[in-house]
Amino acid sequence: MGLSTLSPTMLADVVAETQRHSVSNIPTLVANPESRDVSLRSELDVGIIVSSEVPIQSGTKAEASFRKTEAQLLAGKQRLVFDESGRWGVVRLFPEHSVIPQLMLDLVVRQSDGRELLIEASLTAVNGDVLLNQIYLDRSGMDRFEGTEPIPHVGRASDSEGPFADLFHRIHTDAARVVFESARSKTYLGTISFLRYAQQLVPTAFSGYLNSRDGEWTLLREPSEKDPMYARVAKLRDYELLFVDTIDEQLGATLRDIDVAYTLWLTASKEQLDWLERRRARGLQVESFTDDSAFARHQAVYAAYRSLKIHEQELFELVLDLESESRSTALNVENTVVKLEGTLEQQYREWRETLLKIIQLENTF
Amino acid sequence: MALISACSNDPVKEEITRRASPVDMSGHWEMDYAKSDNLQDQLNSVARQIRREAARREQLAKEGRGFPGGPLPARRDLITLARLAEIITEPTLLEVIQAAERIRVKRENSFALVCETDGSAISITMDLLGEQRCGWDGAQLFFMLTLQEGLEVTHRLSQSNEGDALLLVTSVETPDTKFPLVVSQYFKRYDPESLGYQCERTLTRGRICTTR
Repeated sequence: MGLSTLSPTMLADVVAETQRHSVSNIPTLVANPESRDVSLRSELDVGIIVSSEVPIQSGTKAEASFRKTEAQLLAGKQRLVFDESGRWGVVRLFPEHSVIPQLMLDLVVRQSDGRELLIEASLTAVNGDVLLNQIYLDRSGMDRFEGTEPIPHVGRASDSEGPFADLFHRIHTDAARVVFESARSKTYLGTISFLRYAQQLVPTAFSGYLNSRDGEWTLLREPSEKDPMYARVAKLRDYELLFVDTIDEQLGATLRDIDVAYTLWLTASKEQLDWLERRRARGLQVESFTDDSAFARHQAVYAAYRSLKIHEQELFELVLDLESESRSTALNVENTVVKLEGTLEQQYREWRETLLKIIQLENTF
Repeated sequence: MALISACSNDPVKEEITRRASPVDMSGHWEMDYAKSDNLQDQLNSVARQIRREAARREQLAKEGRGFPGGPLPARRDLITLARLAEIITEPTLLEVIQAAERIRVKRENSFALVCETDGSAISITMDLLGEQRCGWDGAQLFFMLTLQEGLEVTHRLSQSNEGDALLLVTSVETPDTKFPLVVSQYFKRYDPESLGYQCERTLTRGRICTTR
């Protein structure tokens, strides 16, 4: 059956499906420096989630914990770029995918070794439109490390650039470009976001207001703000954002502690990779070395190993120490203190279950 | 006896170890110079081994018999080995932090020896620059590092029955030397609080010591 035999609706679905799954597997090599000009001004709220798929080389739990924390660090840097641009609504880091922000930026860290940073970024609007799905590769040069001050805090992106700042700026400019081209209003997406959130809490809420097909949502009717259900859902959404913002603040403090050690590890890792590459390039000339160089070679090998290990261990142990600290979040909700324990994801899920119970209880009465 | 295979396509060295019997080595340890090896003595010992082997080969050659093995290490190779061993065995203070499945041997001015194992198997970790195998061989904790250029360093830790002494045996081997250089260092417990000062190593400011 060719495309010409499809009905207009089906044809639209096919086009949407093709656009949704159009993924470029060829990484975009980030320029040095990247242009940071963005002409967009949008009020859309952006949520950022991150995960790491960097292979765990050593197989140790310490490295696995580090990679998870690294992903959060990198997401923090990406958020700063969005924040600093002043061209968006509220930009938040979320522990899991959420339908609250109108745009969701999903980052997957694929490689990070101090020399290269490879991140897959996909930007999806809350109505299901996949606006961006691209892999970005940034390579650091020595000049990008020289003069880079140890970061005392994860503050303004312009103050503490770091060796891979261009990658985050490129993702930002590409996101701005595609959002500009898609021309969806905040009101439209905001309403879809609200209705989707409501239906996550109560599946039968606002029935008939949204049309969902193949992962795309279309607004059919707008809810009235005078609807009691509207007020309840809005309140719970605010509670959920309260949790997200509280966690964000806690995490920010933790990540600030780690960022200094992380930058030093990036430097050490890059130096060792460069050193290995130089040695391989000289490998055929080893026989021409003098006797004294035998000691120098072995001593250099051990010194390189020792240096990398020292930096790596400082970072890993810091991550593990911070992880082992009792992690709890206390939220004051309607004169009641709710205390949540466990990992970030566990606390988020527990909080959402609490909100679900609240609305179910309210529906009962 | 435990046999371990690594997840690799390369031929795997089999490690034969006794059943793990972990002991608690937690605490602070300082080197006991009186009991520990003198590097020169160990170097002399290796030199004697080489001379004995050289004499044996000479005798076999006189008898018209062949002998296996490549050329014996030269004096310069031994000096290289000794200098390396000196660097590797430089730390004189240890702190052992031990949990159920993780043991960390922090060494002054060097990287820590870290092993994640529950005692049931040898742990193999690979880095950019080398490979580490570690685990318990009976009541001995061992770390085998295989680095670039064929440099192999093995550390074995064992504790006295009374628990007041630690023995760290370090073996250093290069492709140029047929006989590893083995250095035994004895450590005794000490209380870091009694030193009157406390030092810690930071990445950004180096080693910092403060008095109490």
